Amino acid sequence: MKKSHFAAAIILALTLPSLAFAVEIKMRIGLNPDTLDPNLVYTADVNFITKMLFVNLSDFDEQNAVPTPDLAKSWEVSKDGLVWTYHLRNDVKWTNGRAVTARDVVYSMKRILDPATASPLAYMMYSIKNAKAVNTGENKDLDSVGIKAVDDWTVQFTLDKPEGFFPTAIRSVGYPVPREAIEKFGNKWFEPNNIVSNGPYLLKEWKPDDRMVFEKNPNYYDAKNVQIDKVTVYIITDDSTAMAMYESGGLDTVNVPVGDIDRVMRDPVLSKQAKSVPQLISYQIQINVKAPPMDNANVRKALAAAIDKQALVKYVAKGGQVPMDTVTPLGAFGAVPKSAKIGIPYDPVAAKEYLKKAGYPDGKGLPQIEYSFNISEFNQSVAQALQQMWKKNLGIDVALKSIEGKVYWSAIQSHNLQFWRMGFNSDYPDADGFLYGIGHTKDGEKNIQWDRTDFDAIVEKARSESNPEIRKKLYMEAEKILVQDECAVIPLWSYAYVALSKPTLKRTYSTLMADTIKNWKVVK
Amino acid sequence: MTNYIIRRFLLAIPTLLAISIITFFLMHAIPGSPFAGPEMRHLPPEVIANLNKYYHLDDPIWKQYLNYIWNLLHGDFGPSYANRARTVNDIIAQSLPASALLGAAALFVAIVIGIPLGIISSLKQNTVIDYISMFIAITGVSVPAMTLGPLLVWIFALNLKIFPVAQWGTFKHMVLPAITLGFGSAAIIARLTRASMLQVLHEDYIRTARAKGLSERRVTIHHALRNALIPVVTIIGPLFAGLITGSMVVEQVFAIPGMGKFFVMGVTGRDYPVIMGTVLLYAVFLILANLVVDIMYARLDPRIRYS
Repeated sequence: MKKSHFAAAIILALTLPSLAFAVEIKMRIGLNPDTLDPNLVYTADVNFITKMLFVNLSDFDEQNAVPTPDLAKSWEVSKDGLVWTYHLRNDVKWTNGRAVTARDVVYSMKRILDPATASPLAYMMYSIKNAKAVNTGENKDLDSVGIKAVDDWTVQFTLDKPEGFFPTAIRSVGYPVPREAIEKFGNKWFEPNNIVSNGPYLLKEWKPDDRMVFEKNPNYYDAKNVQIDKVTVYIITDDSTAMAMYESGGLDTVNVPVGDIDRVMRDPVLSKQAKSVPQLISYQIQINVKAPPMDNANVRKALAAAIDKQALVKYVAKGGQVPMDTVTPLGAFGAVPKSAKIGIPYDPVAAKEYLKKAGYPDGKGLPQIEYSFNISEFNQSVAQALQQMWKKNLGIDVALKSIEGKVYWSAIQSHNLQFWRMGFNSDYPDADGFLYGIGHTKDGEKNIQWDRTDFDAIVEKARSESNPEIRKKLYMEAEKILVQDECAVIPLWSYAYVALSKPTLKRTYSTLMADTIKNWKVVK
Repeated sequence: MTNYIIRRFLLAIPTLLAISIITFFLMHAIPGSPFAGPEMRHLPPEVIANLNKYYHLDDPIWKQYLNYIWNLLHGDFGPSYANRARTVNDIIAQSLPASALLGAAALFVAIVIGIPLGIISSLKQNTVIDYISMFIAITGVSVPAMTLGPLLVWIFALNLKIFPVAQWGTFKHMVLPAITLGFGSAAIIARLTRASMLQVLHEDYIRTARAKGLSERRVTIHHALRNALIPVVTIIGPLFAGLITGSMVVEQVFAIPGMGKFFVMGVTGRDYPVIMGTVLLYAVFLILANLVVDIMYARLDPRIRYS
């Protein structure tokens, strides 16, 4: 016993000087991670932690979301668009010293597809040959999946049909996981004492609902470019508490709660530390086009034209959101530029005209309509502002209904609502993820209840098209049908939040909710 | 007495069983599923089917209940759908200690403030002191923790810098949340103590005690307070069970790793085993607290005897 105390004291004495000079930051996560197993992580908030601990097949440019090399140095696609070949670096090591090879990638991706793993990520690989059949249990042969290690440093994917955005689509499933640790520790393999990882940071401590501590991994392949030695991530659910901690010096960076934005922007010191960060999420109103009187396209258009999005963003949402007339957020591939003039802009005169055309001049005779949203203070204020705009510009009284989260979702899916608020994100920064999901009449969410099969044809064509310019044109066509001709969706804005960071922290911001901490620097 | 306690323990079994049945079937009756919602919108039915199978949610409901009880008898509270890395046993083991400590501290605050406040205002009934005490008590009941917590943080952490803003670990971290959590209960205790004292002070035996020539102090503490405390003790039992199982609001405001949030998150996430675990745990604490209260009665009131 005494001996070990002595040893501990020596180790402490040896590490103290280095700790004294260690560069350290403190940050926050809004929830206790449900898991750190990259094969299972589905919560966007946890992405930045996965990126600290594990290398990915390809990383992502934080600004325009283009895949960039990480574990894979390069990749190419065969002429027929069916075979993607990834070439791996040979200098990436697990923390147990073993090299990360193509076999690890294959093991990890097959583990996601194995129905016994029940991974929520499996569908992201459904374009790979036999992947869906294996995941649903129809095909019991995991090895029949089109994922293959050609040699130690080459992985090959064979698809069922060409998919232009394949490298983007697999961005969340490309983290190899350590087979030896998983087989030894099962569901607990990523706890601090068990974890075998390969990324820029090591997990040193995880006190659930309290904090996680990370230290730089000296054996990371790009360790020389990682400057921050220690990262403490506090698990703080309440935004205001995190804000108070930032102001008292307990955090180096924080997202500002909506209620504090005005104060921060007026504050001479804090306003200099603030930055508005765009996110690839669309805040929109979706409409059930089968529910009367919303089955009348002119009613929908009247509601759309009566919304002053600039005012909504400026006075209600406040975070620097970008008002949008189309669905795909700016920054994602296929987003429609403002200059294309697609969508229904704010125009009170036109709004009245639409309502008249619908047969309800000045709103007369329009049955009671009800706008629904999932309970939150923010959604409530947005809904109230919308209600006022519809009253002022159309003369109609729209009822508001706030519903508990899961009940709200089941009400949408059982088509019990007329129109409702929706925050729509995509797994990958591509118009496909937004338009296909919202509008495809068979494979999409089917919440808007329309039957525009011509829209299906366009998004299907865009999906298999490999020429980016043609794809962009196709998405523009699809957007026009969705938000203008049919007006089944009224986009309001693409998300943004205001972040604060101490002047000493030079950080980057991700539009994909996946900050890359290894690129952050602390300056004196 | 021992027989009485054993009997109470045996009676607790059907009570808990009834609670478990009602909770289980009620929670499955709420619309929504653990794997559906806008945040999981991209999951296709095939993936949801795999998840349901993984957690045996595709079994008939009666079978799910029997499995749950069977596992529970083996000390297994089941998995948490929202926390793949943790079972409900892990959650309770990791979060109950912080909640219990905070709850005990809050109860201490509640008793130390509440009982003296109630006694003073009953003795000085309808004077300024009484009005001030009761004003404090009414404030305590009316101001929610959601307001009091941030207010205390603003005064004592951000401005005076006496206590930390949030988090857990040391005595200093415990002060503000304990006051926030305990203040409302202090108010309830104060009002109850006052009402009960006023009633007792008008009893014949108090007049007798005074007639015997006992000092006012002895009359108040030995004769009046002891009897006046019976209703107070009654309320402290359930208060205690409520306080030690945590408070979502106080835990959020002060970023405390307690279990209060799981009561709420279990329901909002349709995390069935978490709902069952927290409800049953709360029920057990409530049953125990009520038992302790009944035993305390016997100590406070010589007329009460259990056989």
